[in-house]
Amino acid sequence: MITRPTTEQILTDCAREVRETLMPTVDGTLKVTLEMLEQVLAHCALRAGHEIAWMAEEISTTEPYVRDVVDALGDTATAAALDALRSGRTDSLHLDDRCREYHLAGEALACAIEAALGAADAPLTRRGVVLLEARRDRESVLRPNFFFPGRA
Amino acid sequence: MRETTSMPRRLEAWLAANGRPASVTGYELMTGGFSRDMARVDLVWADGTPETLVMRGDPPPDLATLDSDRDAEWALLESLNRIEHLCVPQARFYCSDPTVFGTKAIFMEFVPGGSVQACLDAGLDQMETADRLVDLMAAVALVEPAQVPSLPCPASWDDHIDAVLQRWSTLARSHPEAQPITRYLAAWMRTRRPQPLPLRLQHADLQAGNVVAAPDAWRIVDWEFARIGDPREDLGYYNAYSGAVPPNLSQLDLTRFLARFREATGFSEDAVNPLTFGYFTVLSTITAVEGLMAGSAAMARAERRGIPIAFNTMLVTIGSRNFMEAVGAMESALEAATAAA
Repeated sequence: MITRPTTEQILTDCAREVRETLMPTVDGTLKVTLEMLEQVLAHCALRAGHEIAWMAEEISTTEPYVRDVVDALGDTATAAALDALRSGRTDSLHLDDRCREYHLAGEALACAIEAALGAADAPLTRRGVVLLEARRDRESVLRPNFFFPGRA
Repeated sequence: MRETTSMPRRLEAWLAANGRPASVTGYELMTGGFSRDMARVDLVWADGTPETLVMRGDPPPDLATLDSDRDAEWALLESLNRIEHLCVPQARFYCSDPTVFGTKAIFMEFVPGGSVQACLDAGLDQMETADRLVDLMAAVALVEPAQVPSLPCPASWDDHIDAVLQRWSTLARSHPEAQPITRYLAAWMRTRRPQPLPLRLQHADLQAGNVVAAPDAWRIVDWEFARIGDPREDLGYYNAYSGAVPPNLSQLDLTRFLARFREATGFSEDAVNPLTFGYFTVLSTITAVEGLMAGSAAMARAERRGIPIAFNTMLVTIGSRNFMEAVGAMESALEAATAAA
């Protein structure tokens, strides 16, 4: 298997080719499509480079929070989601396996913050929001130079 | 509709068959319509009169980014054309048979001038534009449900808000992947319900790209998502949308922006203020977010394809950012108010 250039490098260069070579030669609806394609390629390049590590990091910070919510509030839905996450943990580095685990962590986080909000527990709600904000900030990193093509 | 070579001949045949013979002298696909296919149609009627129309239809189903109903849009446009204080392009013809052009198709007047978004990009005065956009939002918010009878009307404001909140909850649980941010937003909105206002028409995608800066009067276009709702929804939607597609003119002077809306509509400051503005920034976007996430889900299931749908996966995350910021600002304001009390 050839790993250099990396997937991230290849996709980044494809995005550059679309931006610098193809887009100047077209206009109208085709230009809008290429402007979208260039951004999708840049987005995918960043994901390819980091998404497995980022999912693992988020999962590791989510589980302690969910556990604390279960301990403090005894919410059954959150407890079930935590059990599902724990039984779904995997050492596999295949992307589909990581996505499944990330989904379980996301479900557990959603249940936990719903429980905290429902119980009007401000400190636990705030901790959950901090985790959501970290997720949001990472999503922002995945949109370099974002703009909305064709909206003028 | 995308077959630009054959479309002029097909248009001429359809117009002739419907008693409106004309020569089609130009047919060009238009940019700007994100969810629908649109084309500019130049024609000369049998009496020699030239006219330019906009044709609006649906993309092929597997390439659709957002779903809406052309029959409903046409019925609404007919109603809107009868409301004197609303500036909307004149609806001209409707072809409800999708076999003719490969899609149901609405024909309406072509309004020259370009979008307000394009004018802003070219240096149009932002504060003056903010005032004019508020006036348009107020004009829509003054339309009562009885004036647009084709739109379903909820039994009450509470029923409407309950239904929208239920859509948020359903959306958050129906995606192929857990959506903790959406789940949080749905739960948060249930805890911060604002005071009611009378139900009114809402455009539901009212932003600078959907306003044509015609020299005589600005026109609001793209009514496909219009509904009866809370009259603050268009205000909030504008804030959410323009956070992703700047400039966001509401943030130049939010106090002025909201005061102008209150003055034009007669709503009180208890009902229209920065806190309710933040609330509706989130709540109002349900139709757009549903559409974007449905497209992403369908792509994940290999049922839809295309670059716009892939692109839309990024838009979902921009919405998350803007909504989290709106919620954070509202919570901070409430905390400050509580501390002051």
